[in-house]
Amino acid sequence: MFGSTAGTSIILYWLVLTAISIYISVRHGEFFATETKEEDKAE
Amino acid sequence: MTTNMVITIIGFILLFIAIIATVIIAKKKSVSVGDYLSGSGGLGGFVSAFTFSASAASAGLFLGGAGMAYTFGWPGAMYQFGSITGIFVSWVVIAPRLRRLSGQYGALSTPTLLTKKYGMPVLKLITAIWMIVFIVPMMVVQFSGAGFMFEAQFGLDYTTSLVLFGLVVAIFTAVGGYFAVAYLDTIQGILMTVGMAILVPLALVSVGGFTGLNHSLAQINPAFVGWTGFMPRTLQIGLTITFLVAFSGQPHLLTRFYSLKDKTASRIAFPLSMFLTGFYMMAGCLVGLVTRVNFPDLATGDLAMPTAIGFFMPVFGIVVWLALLSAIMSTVDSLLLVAGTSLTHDIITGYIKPNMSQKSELLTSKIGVLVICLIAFVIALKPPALITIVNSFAMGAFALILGVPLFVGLYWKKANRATAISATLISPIIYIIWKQFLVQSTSWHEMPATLLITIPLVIIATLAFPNKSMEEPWTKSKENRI
Repeated sequence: MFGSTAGTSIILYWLVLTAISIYISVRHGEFFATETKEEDKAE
Repeated sequence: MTTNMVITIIGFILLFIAIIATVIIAKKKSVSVGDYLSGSGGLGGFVSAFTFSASAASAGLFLGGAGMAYTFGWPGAMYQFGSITGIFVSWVVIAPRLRRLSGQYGALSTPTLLTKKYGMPVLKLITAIWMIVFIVPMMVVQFSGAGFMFEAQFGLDYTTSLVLFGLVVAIFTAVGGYFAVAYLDTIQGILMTVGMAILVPLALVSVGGFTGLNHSLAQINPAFVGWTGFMPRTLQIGLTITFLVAFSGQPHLLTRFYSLKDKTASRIAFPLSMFLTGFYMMAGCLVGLVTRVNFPDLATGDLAMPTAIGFFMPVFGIVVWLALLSAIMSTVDSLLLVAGTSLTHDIITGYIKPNMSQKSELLTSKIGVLVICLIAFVIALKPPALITIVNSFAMGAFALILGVPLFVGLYWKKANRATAISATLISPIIYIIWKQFLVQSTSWHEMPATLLITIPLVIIATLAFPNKSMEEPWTKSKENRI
């Protein structure tokens, strides 16, 4: 693909992991909550 | 005066203004030792993402990453699978539980956190000493890189370049502390992003785009567009595994997790860090590959990035040059602050003289930063060949010394003092012995080999020596559970 499967794969891999990180942050924000931080409790 | 010189002077003046401005703002915000050393959990998502990414992107990433791609083609970029995964894992696996635990224990640094987690005061001393031992050579390499860059760009003498750079970094870090480092990282991160966003498209257009680049590489050597090519397997697998595990144990990156303000900051910083750090990695590789097509006869791959800057941006190349200098400075000031923290917070006030007042501890921290900087500076005046070897496996060493005990401590309830000792004391020794004596005879890179020995060792030690006295304060108490 695009002349190099290896090259295309590494770039796609980076973009996919970035997309997953956006998904986790948007849809599963509680994942980052801490019980000790006042700001998190307030939310 | 030529246009080039005018732009260079303007660039330097703007960078200098940014440095002074961040110090002034940081001085107002830093009121306690916690503020000075780790920001006391006061950084928002945007700043956290940039300070994480800029600190992760060192001279090695831009110059070395481009050099590897130049030398081996795409196979030389495949270890970035490990790097990208490593960053993702550090944010998902380490960051959330680390923040909870640091909040519960009120820990400002990883050695302190491990000490409290494992109920073992001597652990603070062991990890802090290892951190200084491995951070100083890493700083020396960054200092040398900056010295050579000044020398190459402006024809300044190496020692003069080193003195100038060392003075700026030492005064800036000692006076400004963590907030100054984080804010300047953000400015420098933006500069790095802009610089690469200009350079990469210019480079790709010159070879007919991404597909054109790959076709040209295949014409030079078909192995350049494959997965493994002629890059030694030991090196490729070793680097991939090293970078995969290293990001979970880098002390200057772990500090970025302590300083996150709240949940919202984490939710912004996580995806932004993933994007930015990956972008810097991909940019370094692509520039190296394009340079291979345009300049196939360079003496060494390390010249790929400077050659590309000179060729594609003859006038505005100073933007990318300042971006590279920023990459070095943002890494070196973060390393310096962490080493200073280890020396003062973990060794002096944490172990030798625990009853020091806040004011005295703050002053000691600043002196500690200056002392560490001076040591690195003196070694950098004549960097021995061994330094490069030590630096190359320092990242892996941190994964063993900090990453393994952190991971086990965060996720395994049976983790005890034997876990901590086997990970922080025995595994780095195995790692060093393997690197020095066994790599050539076994053809195994030190990182996977040490992990294969360390993981069973940690499990056996943990199960064989359960520490009953530790279970009471650290696992039976409900409020101390994660």
